Amino acid sequence: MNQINQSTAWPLLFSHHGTILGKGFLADIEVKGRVLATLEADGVWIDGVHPGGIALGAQTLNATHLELRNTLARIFIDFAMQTSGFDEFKARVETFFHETDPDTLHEWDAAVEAVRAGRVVGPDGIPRCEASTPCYVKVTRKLVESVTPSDNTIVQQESLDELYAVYADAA
Amino acid sequence: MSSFGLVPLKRLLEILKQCAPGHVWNATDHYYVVKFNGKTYPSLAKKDQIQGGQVRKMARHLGILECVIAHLGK
Repeated sequence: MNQINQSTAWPLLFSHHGTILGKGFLADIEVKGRVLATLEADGVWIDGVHPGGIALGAQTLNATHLELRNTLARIFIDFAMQTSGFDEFKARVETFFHETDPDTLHEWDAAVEAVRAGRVVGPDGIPRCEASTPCYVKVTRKLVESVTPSDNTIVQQESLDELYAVYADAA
Repeated sequence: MSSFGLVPLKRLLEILKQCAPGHVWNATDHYYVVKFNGKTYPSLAKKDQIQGGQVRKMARHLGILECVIAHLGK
């Protein structure tokens, strides 16, 4: 259970954008994160790196990406339920994003090295980006007056949510 | 165990008593939340059987992986 086969591990980055309705506030959340995807007999499993507190799987990479979006949205909604206002919510999201563990960080770095060494080829059909791309979370208070139809979740996900494989060549 | 294998919730709760004494267990609208060692794992599925990969990641996140493996086996 503790072993991950590095030969089939893909280091991936993802972007996520969503609006959460909290207790008396609207929050815009923009994430650029890292996950490690592992091919298994039953499908694709993802372990979160940043954020570290997530793990999920599905039969295909696309289905796993969809589950990743939904998982993040559900976690943020839970945070909104548990917190009393925007500042506490923002702090909770930031803590969640930055918490990780050294083993998963090490595995992500090893998977990047495996891609660069040509031992692993990243998944086809998704864009590439540099492994060193900065990860971040931005939580911004949004005024009701500034909300537009493009803030609806499905529009945001269609336009901004993406999964990226890392380039084989370092920058 | 593959990531997609299942661990009964009751068994997981017994293991947490052994491996994470004093941990805090909460249920939110969507997930079970486990706090231990100053860290929070906020996304355990609210099901009677939890995927092995989630249990492994939670254990790693909370710094109790060796103990959980010792109880669950491979």
